[in-house]
Amino acid sequence: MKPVLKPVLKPVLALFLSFALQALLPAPLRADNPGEAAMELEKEAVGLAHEGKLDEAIAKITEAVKWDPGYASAHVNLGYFLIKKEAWDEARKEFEEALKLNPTSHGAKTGKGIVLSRKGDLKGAEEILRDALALNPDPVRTHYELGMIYEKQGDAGKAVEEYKKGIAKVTQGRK
Amino acid sequence: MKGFRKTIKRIVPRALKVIPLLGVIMVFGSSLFTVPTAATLQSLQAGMEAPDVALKDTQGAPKSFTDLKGEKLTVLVFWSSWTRKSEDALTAMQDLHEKYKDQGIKIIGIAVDGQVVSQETQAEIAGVIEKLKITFPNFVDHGLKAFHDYGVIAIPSTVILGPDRVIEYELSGFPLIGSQEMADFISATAEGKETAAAAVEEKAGYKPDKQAVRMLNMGKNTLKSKRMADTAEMWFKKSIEADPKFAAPHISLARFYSERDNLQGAREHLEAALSKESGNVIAMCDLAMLLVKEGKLAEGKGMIEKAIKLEESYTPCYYYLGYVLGKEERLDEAVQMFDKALEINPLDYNTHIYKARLYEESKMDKESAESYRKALEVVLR
Repeated sequence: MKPVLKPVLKPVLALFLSFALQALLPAPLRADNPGEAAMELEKEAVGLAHEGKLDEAIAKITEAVKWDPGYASAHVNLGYFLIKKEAWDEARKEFEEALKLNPTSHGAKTGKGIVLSRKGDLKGAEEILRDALALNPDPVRTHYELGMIYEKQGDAGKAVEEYKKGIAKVTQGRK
Repeated sequence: MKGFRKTIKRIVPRALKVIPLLGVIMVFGSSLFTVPTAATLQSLQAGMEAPDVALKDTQGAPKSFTDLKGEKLTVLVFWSSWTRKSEDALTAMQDLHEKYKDQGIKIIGIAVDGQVVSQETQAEIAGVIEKLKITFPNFVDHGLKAFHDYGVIAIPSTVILGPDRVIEYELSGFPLIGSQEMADFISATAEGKETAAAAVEEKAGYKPDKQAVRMLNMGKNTLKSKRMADTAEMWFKKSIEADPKFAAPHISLARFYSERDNLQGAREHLEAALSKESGNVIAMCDLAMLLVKEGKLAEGKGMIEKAIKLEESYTPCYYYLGYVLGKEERLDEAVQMFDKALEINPLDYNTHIYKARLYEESKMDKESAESYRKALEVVLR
């Protein structure tokens, strides 16, 4: 190799090594990109929850929230995992935090609606779920929750209509 | 085969115990001993290429068909920890596994317990495997992806694939004679008795032309697209042209017409499907429900009952019959039919929808709301 090339190659090689090292490091170690780390942790947490490993999922998503406290989606997912544990107050806190970060989050609104409904505030729950419905492209769960509220209120006819709307969305391929 | 026969002998007294409990099912006489003729899967059948599987082993490593396949046959057993019949199927499969594991036969268990499998359920699945001393590989179908991709109708169900992933044999439920014939097919293939295997295979059903299958699949895929959905009609017609003996494109075309309120067109194609395959229970039950829609309740009911006699595991026939019995104001018998459908496949939310619809039409709003809610719970679970 001609010695004249050496000064050019050195920085190129160093840059390449730095990229390669960054790619090899696990996400949580990427302190320079906490947003990306949080997203990757969230993905892992959702996968764990899907496999029924709820405690591990909560630990993982809590880690994601620590990495990026401004990441609304992680708060929403943590809220839903806490709903599964019936930890209503903690779940509500997460949904409210998500709504502070993203006031149009239909996931957070639906989640808060579920919490309010389970805690007996049917009117408050209906209001926020209706709000979520207008924003949500995949509203099956929201229709389901509204139907439950009407059933609890003793209005079976209204519940039937709400559930049927949810089923219609399912047949359209929505979630 | 000794072990397998032993299993069958063990099952017979159990099945006989269950028969009196089935009440209305008694009406159908020998149906429990009938070999299923069709409808193991929603839209796949022998001769069609099966979808790939994306399963995870206990360490979380992904496995596809290529990783799992046997040299001669791959036997996929869809089972769950909550169906007693699954244990019979697993025990019988273990016998076959022990005998043929070194002769190119690979048996794979796929647990389809639910959309999300909790750690408790995972423990129950592991408990069944341990109790039955199952040594062939088993996977949990997280999100029920394989279950839906294959369109499984009853649990347990068995789908046997060739090395090219083409379906060689399918069996829903675990009927006595049907399962024995399936075991004969596996044995004959493993032992290289090609003539015997071909004879069993032929008995198992007709295999459609590959080109016709491709066109049918094109039609089904275009149905998923909002913009292209209407071109599905053309693909189904092309499929019929490519294989005039093929009943499935007629059924797809009938459903296409039915969804667009062309009931006359739907009826013609269901009748065409039945003229080609008189024992096709999917066509029979779809046609029966068209008759019910036209107000011909007795005629529709007769056809559903005939279909159930032919095939004990096709869930829609049971909830259709439940709906019709309800319309005849025989509510107790209707509920029994809905329960039977749920027993065969609790993951088919349509059972709850038909029940809800029946209650709704009977002005029983409270019961209707409860059933619609249960349907959504199956979807959201």
